[in-house]
Amino acid sequence: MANVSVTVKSPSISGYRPETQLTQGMDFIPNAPVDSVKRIFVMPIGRDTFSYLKQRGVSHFSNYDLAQADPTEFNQLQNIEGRGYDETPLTCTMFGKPNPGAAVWVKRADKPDEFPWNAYPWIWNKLIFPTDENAVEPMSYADGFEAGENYSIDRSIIVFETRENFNATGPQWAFRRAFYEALMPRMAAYWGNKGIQHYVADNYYTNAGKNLLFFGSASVAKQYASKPVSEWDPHELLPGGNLDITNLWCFGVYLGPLDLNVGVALNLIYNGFLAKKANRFLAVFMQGSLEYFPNNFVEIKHPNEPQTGTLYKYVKPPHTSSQAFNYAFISQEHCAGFIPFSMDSKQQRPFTFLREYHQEGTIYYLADGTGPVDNNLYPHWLNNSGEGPEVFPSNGTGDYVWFGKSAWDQTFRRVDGGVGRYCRFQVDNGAWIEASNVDANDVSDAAYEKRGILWTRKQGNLLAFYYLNVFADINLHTVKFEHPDVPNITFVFTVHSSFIWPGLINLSTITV
Amino acid sequence: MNTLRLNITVPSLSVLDPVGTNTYNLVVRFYSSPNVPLGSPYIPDSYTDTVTTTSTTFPVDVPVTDTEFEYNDVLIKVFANSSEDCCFAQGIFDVVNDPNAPPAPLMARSQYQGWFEHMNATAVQENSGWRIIDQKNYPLDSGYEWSYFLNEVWTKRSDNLNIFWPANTPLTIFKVQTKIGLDSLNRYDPTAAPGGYYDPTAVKPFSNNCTFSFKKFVFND
Repeated sequence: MANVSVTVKSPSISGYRPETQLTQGMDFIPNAPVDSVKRIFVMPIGRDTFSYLKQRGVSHFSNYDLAQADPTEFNQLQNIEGRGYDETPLTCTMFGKPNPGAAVWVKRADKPDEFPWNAYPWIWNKLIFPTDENAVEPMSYADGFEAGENYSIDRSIIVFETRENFNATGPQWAFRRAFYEALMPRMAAYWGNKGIQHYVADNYYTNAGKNLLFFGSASVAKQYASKPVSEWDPHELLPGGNLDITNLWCFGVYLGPLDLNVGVALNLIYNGFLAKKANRFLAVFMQGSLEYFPNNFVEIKHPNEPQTGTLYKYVKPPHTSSQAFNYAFISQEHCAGFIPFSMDSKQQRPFTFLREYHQEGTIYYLADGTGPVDNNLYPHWLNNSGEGPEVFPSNGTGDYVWFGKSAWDQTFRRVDGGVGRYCRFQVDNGAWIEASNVDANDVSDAAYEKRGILWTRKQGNLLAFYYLNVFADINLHTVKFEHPDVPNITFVFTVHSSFIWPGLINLSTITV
Repeated sequence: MNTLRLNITVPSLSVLDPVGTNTYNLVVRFYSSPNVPLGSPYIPDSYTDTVTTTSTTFPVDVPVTDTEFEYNDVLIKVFANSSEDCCFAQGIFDVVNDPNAPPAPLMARSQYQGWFEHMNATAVQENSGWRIIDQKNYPLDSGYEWSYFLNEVWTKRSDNLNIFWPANTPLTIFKVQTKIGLDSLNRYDPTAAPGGYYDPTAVKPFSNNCTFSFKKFVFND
């Protein structure tokens, strides 16, 4: 019998200076292993260099960032290493059409007024697809196929944006499938020859999985995950669906009220299971802030400019540091990776904002605390974009994405390919919580019993583990879990709050 | 006084301005962008030094009054002498803080926070954790209570936040005035008609059309 105290990686990082409001997480983590391209981890370049961010574990760079690379580096990164990410091209771009910036919606000529044919997904934007008055579809199969033959395959990841605003285009049309029937074999041949995995998603928030939290009970969630894929609810991205030849699903994490976001980490693990079962990749697609009630003040300071006062400017709510950390970690362990949008990157003060978008409603205090005063006195307004780029303060999301990804690099990546298991555990010497290793049972039970999970992966003499309880209270707790194979060995450590607490154990040092 | 140690590499020692055997003058200048001096109160815009070296890589220690992290990404140009056209190296150099500097104390750091007129959350060290108190007495409307989110924990109370946070785990606090007993913020829709699932009065916004106040704490050394 052995009960071994083990250490866990704390999300409190020594030397980190967040009060600067500058993204710096990449500077406070060790270099990532050289095989980091095995999972997707996209992050924005900011003021860093490509080689530096590669060392720190970035797998792919947005085409907008790669445009800054010199020709030699661009060729190396995009064409030789396959690190290009085609960032959310719109439907119009996909089909080789100019961006109309507006919509004129038209209906099928044969069913103009009959529901559901008179609404999305059966209507289309005539400014993108200029059809004649007898048309029953936006584009022919042959034209869709031709567009797929012409679309660039230079980036190994493509995530389209096809479902919103004037670009909204139903996924059920024959020409939409034709596009991928032409594109996917080209991607597979080009990148397969280079030994590089390719990924194509039809839309940046479309996931063919299910919301774990909406099943109503753990048993329904478990039954769904255990059914053959052919018995799942039909979806255009599932086998048999119109777009089933794409291979990447995207799980958007950017919406929702604070209380409903608590279970998202478990939902990600559940959907990671579904995607793997369907033989598809799932990417965590995360915005740098929460898309929810954008009218909240943030304090902006310039301590290196004693004459500049304090500005309060409207922003969207930040993600909690725990969610940013957990989503990045889970994206690597349970999914195919992480793709951000509008994510913080390394910048330099001063923080500059376009007057026309950001001045209204802002509050300004002078450096001596006098105020509020006329907000025109803030010295860093931009009158137009020609005066320079806007520089926003970091809300910390990017940093905790870096810390969460690095925590995975330092633990579970070391045993990537090993055997994964949920283990039985107890909290504060309470009753043992039995873990199931059948399909997605344990994460489903955890979501509905509102408890933690203890996940491990073992390879050779190394055992990686983490504890996560998104429902945790604010007190410290002791977790004890049982070795996945040897019941008389237990490991004990302290946890707090809803962060993932990961660790790595060298089993060869354990004696029973 | 701290120092920033710059690890300078030059293409050849012949680009330097010699003043003796293996001894050279150089001038280091700091910029916020290629032609704009940094203007920091903590680092000199310009620092003149004499170095003795036989290697093309050598350290230069620049005295500064603060070694705040952000100096890692200032543009640094190194000149052979005070003339503006003798620049032989520029870029973002490897900067090493003074190894003899005392260790930084454990502190509560404010990462991202709202207006103090809505919430003024402070953290004071207590035992091995932190006492977190909202010092702002914002008027609470009748029929409403305070909702404070502590990372993922939703707590409701009629008085100001006052809790013990028992570790150095990062803490994100949201503060919002909610109808007493509200079961989900999902019900809040300011444009909804009264009487249905969505409730335009589920949340009472702060002044200045502000929905939430928040503060992100980091506790570290």
